Parts: sequence; C-alpha cells; structure tokens
Amino acid sequence: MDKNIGNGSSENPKNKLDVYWDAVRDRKYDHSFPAIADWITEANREIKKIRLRQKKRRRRLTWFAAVLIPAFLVVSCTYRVERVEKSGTLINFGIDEREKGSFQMLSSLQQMFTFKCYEFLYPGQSGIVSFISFIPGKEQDKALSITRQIKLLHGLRKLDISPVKYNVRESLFLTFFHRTLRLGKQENPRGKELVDGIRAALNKEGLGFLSINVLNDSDANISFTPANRTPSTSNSTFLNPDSLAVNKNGSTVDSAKREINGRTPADREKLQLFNWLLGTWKVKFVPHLTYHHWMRMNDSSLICYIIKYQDDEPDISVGFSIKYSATDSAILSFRGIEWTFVSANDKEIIFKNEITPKSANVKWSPDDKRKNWESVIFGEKNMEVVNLVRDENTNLENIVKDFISKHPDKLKL
Amino acid sequence: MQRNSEDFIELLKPIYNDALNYCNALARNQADAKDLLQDSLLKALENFVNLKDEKKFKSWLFTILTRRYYAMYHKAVTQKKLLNEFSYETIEFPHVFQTEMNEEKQKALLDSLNLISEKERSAIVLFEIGRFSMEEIRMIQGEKSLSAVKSRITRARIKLKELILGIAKSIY
Repeated sequence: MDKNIGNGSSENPKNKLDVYWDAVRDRKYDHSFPAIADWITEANREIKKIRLRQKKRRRRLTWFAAVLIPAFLVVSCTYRVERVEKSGTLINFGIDEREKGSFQMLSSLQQMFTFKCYEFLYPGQSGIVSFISFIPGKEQDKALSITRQIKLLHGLRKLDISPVKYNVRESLFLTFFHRTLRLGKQENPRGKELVDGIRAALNKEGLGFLSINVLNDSDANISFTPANRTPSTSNSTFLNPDSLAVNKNGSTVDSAKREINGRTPADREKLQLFNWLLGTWKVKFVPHLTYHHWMRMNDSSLICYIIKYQDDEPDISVGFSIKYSATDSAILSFRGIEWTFVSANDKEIIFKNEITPKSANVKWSPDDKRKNWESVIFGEKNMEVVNLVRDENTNLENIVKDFISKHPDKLKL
Repeated sequence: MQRNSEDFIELLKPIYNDALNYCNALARNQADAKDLLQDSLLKALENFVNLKDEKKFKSWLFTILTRRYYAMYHKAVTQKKLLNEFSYETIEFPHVFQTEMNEEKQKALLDSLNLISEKERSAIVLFEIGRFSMEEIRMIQGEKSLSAVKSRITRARIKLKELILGIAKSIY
C-alpha cells in the first residue's frame, strides 16, 4: 500500500492528483500490440469478405427488384379481378291515387332534389300509383333525404329501398388504388352492367315486368332514358316491350313532331332500306326470351312475327307489318293502328299517325352496322320502347312458316 | 483513398497505450474494457476508408471509443449486439487487459472514476490520458459549448479529489 495517500505529506491527493493519473498513464500494453495487429489484419480480411458478400447480395437484390418489380407491375396492371360495388339505390313506393296533395308534394320534391320518379301501375293494385326512382351511388346523402321526405307523404302505401350493385372488373393495381387507397375515380358501370344490376334489384322487388333503358350521361349521372336517345327526349323509361304504357309529359311528343316536320317524304326506292329488317332480332331487357322475326311476304309487304318463349313453348303473334302503298309510300301497322311513312335517313325512320294521339309517332333508330335498333312508339303521355339486337344464331324460319300455315287469317294486311 | 490494415496498424501503434488506458479508465471492469476496445476497433476498421486526414487518426479513434462507450452504457442490455457477429465467432480478440492492477494509486483513481458521471469521466480521461485539448474534447464529445467541457473537467477533477481523499481516509 502506498503510504503517501493518507499521511498528509506533499503527495496528499488533494494537492497531487497528477500522481494518480501518472500511475494510470504509465501503464503499458506494448507486449499485446503484435497480437492486436494480427487481430486487426484478420478482422480487416473478414470485413472485406463481409463487404463483398453484402455487395453481391445487394447486386442480387437489385437484379431481383429490376425483374420482379416490373413483372409485378405488369401482372397487377393486366390481371383483372372482380368485385361488387354499389352503383346506387332504387327507391320504389306507392301512393294512394286519392291523395292529390302527395302527388304535388312529390313533384316539389323532384324539383327540390333534382331527381326523377317514374310512374307505373303495379298489376293487381288498383287505386295505388307506384313510383320508382334510381339515385346514383355518389348521391347517397340525397337518397337519404329523399326517402325521409317520401316517408312523410300521405297515402304512402309502401316504400322499398334496394341497393343496386354491379360487378367491377378492373386490374389488381386499380382495385388496390380505388378500393384500398380510395384514390382516383371509380369507373362507372356501363349501360348493360347497370341495367343488369337494376334488373336484379327489380326482380328482387317483384318488379321484373318492367323493362329498363339506361343512359350514362356526360356527368356520369345515371338516368333512365330509352337507349340511343338524347337526354332531351328521355323522360320515360319503364316499358314493357310489347304493351306496357307509361305516363309521361308531352315534351317528347313536341320534339318528335319538330323532328318529323323537318323531313321530306321518301320515294319507293328509299323504302328498300327496310330490307335490313329481314331476319331474326332478339328483344333486349325483357323478362322472357322474345324474338322479332321479319319476313318478306310478297313484293309489297314485310311482316314481323313476335316469338315469345314462356316455359320453353313459343308463343307467336303478328307484330309490325309494312305495306308498300301505291302512292309511293309505306304503311306501318300494329295492333290495328296505322302509321304513314314520313322520312328516313341513315339513323332514323319516322312514321306518323294523325288518328291516335297516344301513339302518334313511330321512330326506328338502327345503329350504323344495323346490328341493334330501337323502336319507339310515342305520343300524348305515352311511350313504348323496344330494343333489339341481331341474332344470327337462332333459326325461327320453320316456326314462323308453321305459324303462317296454321293461321292464314292473321296475315291479312 | 485506398487504405489497408497495415496503414491502420501503423497509425494505431503510437497511440495504442493511450487508447487502452482510455478504455481501461472508462470501463467498469476488464471485460467491458475489452468489449469496448474490440467493438471500437472493428468500427474504426470498417470506416477507415472514410478517414480523410491521417493526422486526425487519434482524435477520430478516440471519438469512436467515446461514442461506443456511451452506446455501451446507454444500451447496456443489448451491448453484445453492438459487436459484429463475426468478431466473436471467427476471430478471437487477444486478452490485452489480463494483467492485474497492483498499484494502489491506479486502483484508487479507477474506482473513483467509476463514481462520477459518464461524460465527466470521459472528459477528464480524454484530458488526462489522451492529452487532448479542450477544443478537441468538445469535438470528441460532440458538445456545442467549450465552456461546458471546461466546467465538466473542473467538476470531475474536484469530485475525483474528494473521492480519492475519501477512499484514502477509509483505508487509513
């Protein structure tokens, strides 16, 4: 033991702390330096090896990423997945026809919330006027407000609110973008998809007898309009392909009249354009499988046979017929009503009738390739729409000929 | 700049004793001192290529030693993880601190150092053993203020005096 520590001499720790530091400083480790030098050399070698391994791993990872990321991107952009999204809400309700105030209230509601209700008669429910309306998915707040107000209407008989769903089929990447991140603009359902969705909702509600035509307008708002028609003439929608009539306002009639007045009569040669009608057409948007089969009966007449399948048994009836008249025009007949040919161009064929205001006009609108067309009978508060698509796979010739041979009386033109 | 282990050894040789004494003074025991030295040397070797000025090797190495020392004591639980995995497994570190301390003065000082704070201990040891200037200690300790380092060293010195006196009184 160092006796200087506690004896109060000149090496007292109070005054001479340096001697303690010197004792530590003087400690030498030189003998271990060669071993440390060897360790440093070894460790350095090891570090280099590790660095090389890490470099290789990084390079492999870079290559892996360079291949995998583009491959993943390609796959995620091309692989399509399907999911169900809500496209809107179908509001179906009935009002006692004696409650006139409720009708006025409903009219005000339509103006206030800028939506349209479509009126129809529910089979077997006399005294109740039924309405149906479709509110797009992006206006769900509005749908809530509307239903809240509808519930307040007097004479409300029922109120069904059904979601209309549709299948979205888009790439994995877009699904992640739209659904997970909730970014970007969701692709709106296309006409047919929306129709299918609404059709499913209608069937669920027991309203399968209604037919639908849907148009997505430029604002992506979904409105019910007859297909291939401009929004200005699209106020009524739910129509049975054969007979169901729906009330509507007179704006379409007026506009149609203006269209008709602007045309010139066609001559007999122009009427050859009816030849494209010949053959089989399938009726779209109807609950039962229905075909229209056009046949040339003789040099001056064409007849359309309506073949409706119910329980696999075809039910055949005579639909439109066109007769070439001696006065260089054509007469269109259907259900005992006759229309005179007015005009024709590539997009429209117009017939007119002066006797029955409710069915004053017939307008046929084929597409450019004559693969689809739409027939509209419209007049005062009435519109009937049928959409047809060319069906070259179904042979109805024999069925029709059999019908003709059995019912010659029905073919008197 | 391309450097190899020989350069490192050459630069380490003149400051080797100071570095080991520094580790010995900082750590609480020989095992910790060995870990601190091994870990710091590995870190220094890994980053040796980044050393710009060889004249600053000493302060650079002591900075590493000081930082590793702080890290070791702040993360005492995970201190072993600070050492690279290969260091223990493949290369055995030499037993540099195995000699016992016989001298009472050494023992009294090191025991007293263990009783002051880490920063004070580091500052006073850098000053007394490393013989760094105040400015260099400020840099090594990563301090902004020079006066903070000065007062830290003064404080450490006073504390050490009191502690050594206390130890001496308790012995005699």
